[in-house]
Amino acid sequence: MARIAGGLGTSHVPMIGRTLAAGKQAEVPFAPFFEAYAPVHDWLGERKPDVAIVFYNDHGLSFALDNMPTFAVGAATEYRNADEGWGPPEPRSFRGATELSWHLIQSLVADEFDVSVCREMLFDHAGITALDLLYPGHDVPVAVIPIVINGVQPPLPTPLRCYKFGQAIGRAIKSFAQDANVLVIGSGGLSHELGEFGKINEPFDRMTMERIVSDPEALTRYTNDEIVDLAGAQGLELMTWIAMRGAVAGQVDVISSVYQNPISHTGGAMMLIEPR
Amino acid sequence: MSKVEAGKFNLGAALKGYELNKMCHTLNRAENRAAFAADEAGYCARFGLNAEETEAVVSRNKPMLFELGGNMYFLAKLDRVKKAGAV
Repeated sequence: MARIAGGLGTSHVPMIGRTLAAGKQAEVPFAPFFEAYAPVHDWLGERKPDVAIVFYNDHGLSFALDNMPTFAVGAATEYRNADEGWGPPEPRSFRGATELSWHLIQSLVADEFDVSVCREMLFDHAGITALDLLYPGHDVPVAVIPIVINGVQPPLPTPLRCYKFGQAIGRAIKSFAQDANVLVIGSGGLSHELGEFGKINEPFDRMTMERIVSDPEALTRYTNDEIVDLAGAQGLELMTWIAMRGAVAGQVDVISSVYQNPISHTGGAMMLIEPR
Repeated sequence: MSKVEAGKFNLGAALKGYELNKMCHTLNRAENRAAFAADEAGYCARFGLNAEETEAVVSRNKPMLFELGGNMYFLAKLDRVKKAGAV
C-alpha cells in the first residue's frame, strides 16, 4: 500500500539553484535557509521516500498561452530540464512513476478533477530546485510526478480549489495498491512579485506558515486577488503549499522550518511536515 | 483600458497579450534569442506584433508591456536576453 511520508514546502527562486550549483550554501546571506535542510536530509535518510509528487507552477517553459491547463499531471517515464532563457543547462533527466501517475489521474477524474494529462513535459527550475535542495549533488534517488498548478495566467484556481485538489491527491495516494512511500512537495513562494522588490510581506508569510501547520483551511478563505494584494502577484505560488497540505491531511508534526527574508526578491521559506 | 494589475484577471490584457507572450515564450531557445538580438523589430514582426507592441518590446518599457497584456512569466524571458550578442 502507498503511504504519505511527509510534505515539504519550499522556495525555489533561481538564486537558490545557482547557490547550490556553485556549492556556496555556507557563504550566502541566506545560509540559514540551507542550514534548516540538515534535519530534512536526516529525515530523508530515515524515511527513505521513493516517490516525490511535486506541485509547482510552470514558469513559461512547458506551457504557453496557446494551451494553459489549470491542473496538469505528469504521466511520463522521464522528465527533462530545458533552457528557460538563461542559456542551455546541463541536461538532466528525472525518472517518472507512471503507474502511480495514471492511478492519480484516474482517481482525480473520478473525483471530478478533470486534469490535463502530460505524456511529455519539460520540468522547470521550480521542481528541480526543490529536488536539488533535498538531494544536493544531483543524485536524485526518488521517482518524480510533476503536478503543475496554473500560477501564470489568470484566472487561476482558488486556494480552496487547490486545497481540495491536494486532498484528492492524498486520497488517491492512499488508495494505490502498490507499495510507495510518497513525499509531497509544494514548491513556490512565499511573498514576492517579479520586478517589485517591495512586495515581501513577512508578517503575512509567517502567519501563512503557522496556518499551514495548524489551520490550513483558514488560508482557503482568501481570494486570489487578496493574496496578490497581500503577497504580490507571485505570492500566488502559495497555492503549491496549500495543495501539499491538502494531500498531507490531518494533524502534522514539523520536522524543520525556516523563514528567511529575503532570498533574492522573495520571502524565502521551507517547512517539512510529517503526518502525526 | 483599465490598469492591468499583475496576477489579477484583466479582460483587456487577456484579449491583447497573446502574440506578445507567444513571442517572449520562444526566447527560451538560444537560437531564437540570437535571432531576436540580431533584429528585435524584425523578430517581433514575425509574430505579428503591432507597432505599439514592438516599441514596448524594443524599449523594454515594463508598464507599457503590462498594459499590452504582457505576462511577467513570459516577459522574464525578454529580461534574460542580452541586448547584443545574446546566447
